[in-house]
Amino acid sequence: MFSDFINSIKYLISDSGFVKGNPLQFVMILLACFLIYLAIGKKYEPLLLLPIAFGMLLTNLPFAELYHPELFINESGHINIQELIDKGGLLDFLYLGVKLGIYPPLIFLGIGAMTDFGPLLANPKSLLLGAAAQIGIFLTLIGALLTGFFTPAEAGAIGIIGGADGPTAIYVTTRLAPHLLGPIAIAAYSYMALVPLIQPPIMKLLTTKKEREVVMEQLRPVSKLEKIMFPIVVTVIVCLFLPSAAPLVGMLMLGNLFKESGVVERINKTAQNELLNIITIFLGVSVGATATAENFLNVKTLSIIGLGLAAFALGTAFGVLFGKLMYYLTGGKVNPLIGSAGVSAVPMAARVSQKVGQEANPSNFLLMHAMGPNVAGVIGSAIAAGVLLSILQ
Amino acid sequence: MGDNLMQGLSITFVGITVVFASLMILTAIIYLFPKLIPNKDKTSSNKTSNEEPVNTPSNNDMETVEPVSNLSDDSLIAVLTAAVLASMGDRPDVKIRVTSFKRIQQTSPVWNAVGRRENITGNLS
Repeated sequence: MFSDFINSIKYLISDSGFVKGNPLQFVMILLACFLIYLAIGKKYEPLLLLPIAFGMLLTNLPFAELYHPELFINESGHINIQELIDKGGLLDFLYLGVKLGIYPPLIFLGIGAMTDFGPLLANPKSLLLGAAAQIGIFLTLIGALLTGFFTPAEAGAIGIIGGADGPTAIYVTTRLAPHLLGPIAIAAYSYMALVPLIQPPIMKLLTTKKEREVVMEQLRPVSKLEKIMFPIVVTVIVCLFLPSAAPLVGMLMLGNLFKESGVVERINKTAQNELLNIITIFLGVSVGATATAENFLNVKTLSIIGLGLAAFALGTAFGVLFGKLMYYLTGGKVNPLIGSAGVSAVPMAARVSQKVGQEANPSNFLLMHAMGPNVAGVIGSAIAAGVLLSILQ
Repeated sequence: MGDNLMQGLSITFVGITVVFASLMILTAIIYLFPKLIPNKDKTSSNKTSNEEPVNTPSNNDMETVEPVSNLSDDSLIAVLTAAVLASMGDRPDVKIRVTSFKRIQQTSPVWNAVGRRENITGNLS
């Protein structure tokens, strides 16, 4: 009786994850705990980093069988639904929403419902600042190709980190390089949280004190009809120009139309609260699940982290440089600091422009002026994503 | 390496061109918005500014009131009347009726406004 008990305990221990687990999985669990600390202790993008980090923890638990990368990443490039139903764990089923490109556009729907495009409509040239900041995406793509580690599709997925837009980065990566989803999503969200540290030195380096002190004219009031027409016009123009950007841009603008129309208040509230929160949980956990030890702990991840930083820095730099160009062309009416907000990362990047501007001139309020390029950056990065998908998919 | 660079450059060139072109088209269309859409707010404010003079304080008891188009204007007239009466103190001999109003840009210094108010008070007493 007693020996049976001892044998059962021995069997349980020998069969447990403590004994059979791969050491690399324990490294990943420690890394996940560190990311959880960053999300809770340092408040680095906690809304997404926390579910991502916990998904990473769950997927690396030995023998928990929650996620099977081989079901999604295989030579055929197709998902075998029967095999998925037979073998799949909880995170496999949640990951379907990422793999099929459902979650990122739904996140965009919520973002659209929360976004006020008024500052952009009041100052349309700020759209060009949103375009300039996307140059970082393409220069990073060249950098990734030059390392020799990455294929063009992988390089495109890495470049999109420079769009500073999590859902866009996830959407592009699942289509171009699904095996790199974990490192790319973690790099994208980590750097978005670090925008207040990454951007100010670049902004100060590229501008003079006189340029940073520029006080911009008050924005004109925007009528309700303009705000209602904007999402419809953007959807038609952008999606006719670049059909591959339709899922992201279309959902972003649908959310915005919910908000601006003022006739579907219930749907609007659901899109920006309950729906967005539910999708954020599913997206975060399932993206974190892709960060398995074999996918994450390699030289490519280190390169992605380095290139991601370069993408952010280049996007910021080109936004500011285009802002300088506008400063000269308008005879000093545009403060170049608003250009850095063109990288998206709404509204953090706009807040950084406000903060750096106010350091130079305490009576300066750039926030609303920076919100124009900031929301333009969301549209710009969705268009850049569409270009990458059209060429590289 | 050379091929990679060429491919990267070609994607970059196409990408930057498409992003700028689409956003420039959007910029142009948004610039046209205010011209294409009749701004109702602007029209209504012009209408207000075209209306008859500022506050017309009058000693005549119960003058004819101009018809007031909407409730918000009614409320504003009530507020203006109350403000004028409050600034003139408890004066049973003075009875006023605000018949129309016009919003004007505040450009004169505060001291000018004080001087004007004293002048008006002096004329009324």
